[in-house]
Amino acid sequence: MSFADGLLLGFETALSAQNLLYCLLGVTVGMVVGVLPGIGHLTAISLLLPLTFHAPVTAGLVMLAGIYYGAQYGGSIASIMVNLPGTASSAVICLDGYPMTKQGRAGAALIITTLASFFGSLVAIMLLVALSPPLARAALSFHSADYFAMMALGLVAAGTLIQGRPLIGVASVALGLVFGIIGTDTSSGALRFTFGAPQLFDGINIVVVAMAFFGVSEVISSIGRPRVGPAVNGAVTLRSLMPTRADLRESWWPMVRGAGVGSGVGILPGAGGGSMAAFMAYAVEKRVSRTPERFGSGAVAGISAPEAANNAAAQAAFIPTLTLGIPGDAIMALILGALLVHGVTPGPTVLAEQPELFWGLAVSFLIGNLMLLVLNIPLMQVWVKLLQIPPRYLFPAITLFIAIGCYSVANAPFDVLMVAGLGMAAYVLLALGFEPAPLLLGYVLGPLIEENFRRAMLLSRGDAMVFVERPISAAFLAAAVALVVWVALGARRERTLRAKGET
Amino acid sequence: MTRAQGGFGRPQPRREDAMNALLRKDLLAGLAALALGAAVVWISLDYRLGTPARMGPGMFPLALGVVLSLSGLGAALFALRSVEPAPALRVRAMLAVTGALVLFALTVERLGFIPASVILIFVSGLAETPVQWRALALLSVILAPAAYALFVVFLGIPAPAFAWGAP
Amino acid sequence: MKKSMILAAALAAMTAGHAAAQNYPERAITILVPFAPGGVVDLASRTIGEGLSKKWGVEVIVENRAGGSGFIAATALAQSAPDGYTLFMGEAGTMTINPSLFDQTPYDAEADFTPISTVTDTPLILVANKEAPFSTMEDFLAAAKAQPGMITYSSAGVGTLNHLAPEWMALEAGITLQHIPYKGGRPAATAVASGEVDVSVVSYSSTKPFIDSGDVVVLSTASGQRIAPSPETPTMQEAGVPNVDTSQWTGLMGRAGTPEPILDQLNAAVQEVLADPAVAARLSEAGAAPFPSSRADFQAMLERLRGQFATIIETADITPQ
Repeated sequence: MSFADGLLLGFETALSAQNLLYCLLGVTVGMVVGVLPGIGHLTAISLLLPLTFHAPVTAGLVMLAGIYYGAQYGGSIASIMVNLPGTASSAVICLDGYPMTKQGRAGAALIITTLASFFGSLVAIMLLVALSPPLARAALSFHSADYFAMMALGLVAAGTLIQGRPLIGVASVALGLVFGIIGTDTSSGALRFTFGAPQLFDGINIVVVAMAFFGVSEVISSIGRPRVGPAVNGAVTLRSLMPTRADLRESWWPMVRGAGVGSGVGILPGAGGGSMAAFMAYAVEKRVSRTPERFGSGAVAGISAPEAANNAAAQAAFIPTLTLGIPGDAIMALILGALLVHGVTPGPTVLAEQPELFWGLAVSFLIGNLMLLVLNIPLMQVWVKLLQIPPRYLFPAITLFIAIGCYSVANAPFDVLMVAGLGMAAYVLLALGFEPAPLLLGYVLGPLIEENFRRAMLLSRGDAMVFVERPISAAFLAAAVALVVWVALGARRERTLRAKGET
Repeated sequence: MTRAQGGFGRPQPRREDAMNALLRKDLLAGLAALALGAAVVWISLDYRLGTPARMGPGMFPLALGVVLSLSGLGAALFALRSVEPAPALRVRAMLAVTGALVLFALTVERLGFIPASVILIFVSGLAETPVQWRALALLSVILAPAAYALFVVFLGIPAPAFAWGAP
Repeated sequence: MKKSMILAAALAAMTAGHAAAQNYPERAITILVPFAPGGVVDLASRTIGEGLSKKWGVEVIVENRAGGSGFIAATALAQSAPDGYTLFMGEAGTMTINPSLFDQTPYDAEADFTPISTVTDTPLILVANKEAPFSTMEDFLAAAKAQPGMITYSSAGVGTLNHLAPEWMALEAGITLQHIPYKGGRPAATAVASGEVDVSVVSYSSTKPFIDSGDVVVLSTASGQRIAPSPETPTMQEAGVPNVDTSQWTGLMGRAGTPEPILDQLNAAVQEVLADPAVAARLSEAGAAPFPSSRADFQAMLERLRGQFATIIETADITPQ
């Protein structure tokens, strides 16, 4: 299929009434969730995951993706207006966005982030469309050993790039991997960790795991949390919405650099998607700026670059997920899970077999971003109002949604019991500092990485050298080892510093 | 959590008096990982290990159990220097929310979708102090039929609205 | 509501046979599906469900009860009443492979189920990587005889049809192959295309992109007859491998003991649905073809396959544990 045919098919698919509706639903829910302090976008995607099982695969994915990038937008709004980042990736936006609000320039900041988001997405969409087909072709020569190495790098990155507690990060990944291999073993057919329950023969459903770690535990830990009454500084007037010409000029190059950084980070497996990209883009801007001292007190570049970066990363993350079947972060892991439930195995053949899925999704990103651009400006006041809803009225509703969502997957009350038990365990583990996102990534990759490892060894007749002899595998494993060494050294230096500081 | 905590999730007030040297967050986390890892190793030993060329179903979980135990042990050892107290668990919220889910699971097919939803809303509402009875009643009236309409009528999940007296 | 249903069921049981069949169907029919939505088995169930619903004006609920190698859905059917209101979409795994593969199953595929009609058929073909040192069935068999156990084949998992079909072929041809399991048919097909394994027995539809791109060559078909999309390809039997005749089929099953007239009525309705060209078009998008059959033919097919798979599983020593 040629590029033009692909785009045409994409528009045809994305502009169908059904897909438009799901796209609108997705971006609206995402935006609301991003704004609301109390539900993260992973929670939102987890909650809506069962709905997509009842929709056609393309429509379901369009909606999930819409929630993802919609939440990125929404998160930035909360960051700028009230200094409460709705999502991890928009925490950076607080640094310069909130100071702009205090200076009475909230409107300008909002418009700049909207434009930067759109620009970042646009760059990543073009990259997605341009890179996926050649990558899918290249992937045809990847063997099991290569897949193992890529996933190993992703898991090592997800586990160790946790701030503060790399060992607990590793434990979270390992625990996730154990959750992932519960059920019937693909290679031997043996039943593992099922304790004789036939409901576990096919493993724990992804909806149950996601809802336990992002739904139940989130609800429990949010109930009774001291409420910070958001103080909104000044109303947003139409007049203040207009950025000055200088603002726009100052935003251009940071946006370009941000989009570049974001796309790069997004493609990497396990790099954590948006938040990592936003932090890196911010750091890059501060370094290249001629006036680095202005950062933190309302520098325009301090919001446009990270905003472009986190949206670019959100879209670029689809590249490895769709073409290789390797999700880069927890959200992509959920999207991969949704694809698998629909019987679509992401991989090199997806582009050839499901062209309407790939192109439809790519074009829906464009349409979804346009919807956000159009929705964002007139609805600004609504978002500000939303910020003032006390989150605790949401909790019984979210709990109900969790129960019905889990029940609906297989019409099995057992799954609801599972989410209750696992949710309680999740709450305790997360309170102790376990990380839910690496755990979920481990859960999704667990069976895949074991399968590829065992198969590689079976094919090499027990010779582990296969992982070093194949150049692709060797490169990824080397990167994983380098990452571990780097984190270990960093942790040691930090401890030495802390020890010195304490004495 | 994935949510950034900038100004939102403020650290819990320290209860210095109750702070016990053994009840430090990292230490407990490490010990939890160690215990889980040991359990995984224990269970994996029941499965066939196989050879490197033909790995049995036990090899990978055994390796995971070892990694889990070792990282837990390491975290526990490093934690000896940490000062962060163990988190106070919200036991009431935990029991109310999970209890609500369990009751839903037990009642959805025996009593029907709507009664199960109402029970869930009220039981999960017990998590808040004081209990917001009026808000919960309002939520029940609005949410239960709305959820029924969305999931059962629109999405076609087979569940009766009411199933009084069914076996 | 519930009471009247119980009453109706009791009445139906008492006046079983002709009287019940005359009024059938008078309430919603449920088709249990042992797989998640998506895929051919689900599609077959929904196609039949919609067809029956349109024809009889009753609701047909398609209930996906995925899990446990199909145990959950199959057990639910085995515990239902033999009244024609609970049906099951069977396929090779639950109906013919599981009984021999597992030491014990919570349902009895022979005693608890009765065939109504086969619904769809997806032909299986033997393909080889383009770099493999053989491109015809004869060369392949010669190469396999020359180096026993060195030629690798991919499957969609232990105990799947893509695993048992090559073992069947190996058994009949007197060769040994090395089994490399994948998770699902598409990864298994991709593995042949990428050259990670030498050959595979996969559905025509999942390999079509690789056949078109020239990454794989077709050696033979596992069906008894040549297949329409690739008429020049010989069958395994023509190429000198006796007896092998299998494909991925789905078939509607009822609870054993359902009155004969109801089973006949269902069989006739399925034939009618499958004769609709729109249904054929919809199935062919998923690589499947309509596969109508009489109840007796379906029963004969099940018996033949069960015997065959029992032999293969025993000879090749395939175990789930």
